Amino acid sequence: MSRRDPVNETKERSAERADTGDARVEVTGKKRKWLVMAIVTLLAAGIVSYFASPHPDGLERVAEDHGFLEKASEPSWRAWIPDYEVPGISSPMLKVGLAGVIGAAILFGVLYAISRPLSAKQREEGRE
Amino acid sequence: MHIPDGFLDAKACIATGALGAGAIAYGLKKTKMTLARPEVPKIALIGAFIFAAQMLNFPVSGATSGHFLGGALASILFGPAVGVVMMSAVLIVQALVFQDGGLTVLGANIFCSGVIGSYVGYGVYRLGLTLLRGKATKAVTFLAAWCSIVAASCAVAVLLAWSGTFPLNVALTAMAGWHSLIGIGEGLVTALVVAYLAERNVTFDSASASKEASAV
Repeated sequence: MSRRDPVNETKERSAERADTGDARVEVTGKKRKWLVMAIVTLLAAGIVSYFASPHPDGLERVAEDHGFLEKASEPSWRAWIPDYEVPGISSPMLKVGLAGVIGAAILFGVLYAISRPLSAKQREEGRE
Repeated sequence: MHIPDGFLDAKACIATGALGAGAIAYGLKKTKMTLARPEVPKIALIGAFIFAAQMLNFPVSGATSGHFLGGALASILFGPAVGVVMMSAVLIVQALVFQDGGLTVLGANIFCSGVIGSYVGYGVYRLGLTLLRGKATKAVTFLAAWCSIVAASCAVAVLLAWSGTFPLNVALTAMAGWHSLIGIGEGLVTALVVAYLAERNVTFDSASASKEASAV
């Protein structure tokens, strides 16, 4: 079975990680699973987001019930995509979906840019 | 559970701002010590997933909704220090680009959803694996995620009470009450994704687990 290789690979990595004292689950190295995660992310951000419940969330509900929702001040600046709706687009589904995809792409880019310089090609740095 | 500007007073904003900044600095330092290159795209993708999942408010009860938070997911997969960095990135982008969560309370949101969410989720997960000796990992993951969002909501309640918004016991009851329901969604999503992406769960004794692994 071709599935064995990535499993062994992650086990080796787990042995290395145990030395750092920061044990956690062994995250899969299977490309197919990460591709599925990427597709799920894009579908969630781009399509399912439109069908999200419009009701207030837990904190907003509490603020409403206890009469301090009005304490929330109007934002003093205008963000690029306020309330997850890309301005200037008329289709409600498109403006929410696009906001989601843009946000997911920004997060991918930001986290990639932050974590890559912090990562070690080999794991030598983890063994101080 | 993004706190908007105006809910917290100056002392709470400043205190949590300092705590949040300190936690990010520590998280980045710890990340630098432990991160391997193959993890970089995985971290970036899970960060994008957490952002996307946070958009999906689901109905809870009556005219209330809840959404996924992600602190437990990030910390179980990549460790709590990386979890804090990931959650902080999500919260900062949400505040700056999408106006979700205030700027003066950014530290408070990072402290509650990021730091408390990540460390409580990770702590309960590790404790559960230790006590159950690595059995019932899906249930442990569910519980860890449930605890992480309830703990984060309690932290928000404490900050609200500290800011004089409403009494602590009322704040705790209200916030924990709603988020114990929302936590069911948090637990399900976290357990599902962790089960899908985990090859193997690290058990109570990481040292023996590593010997076992290298013996294979």
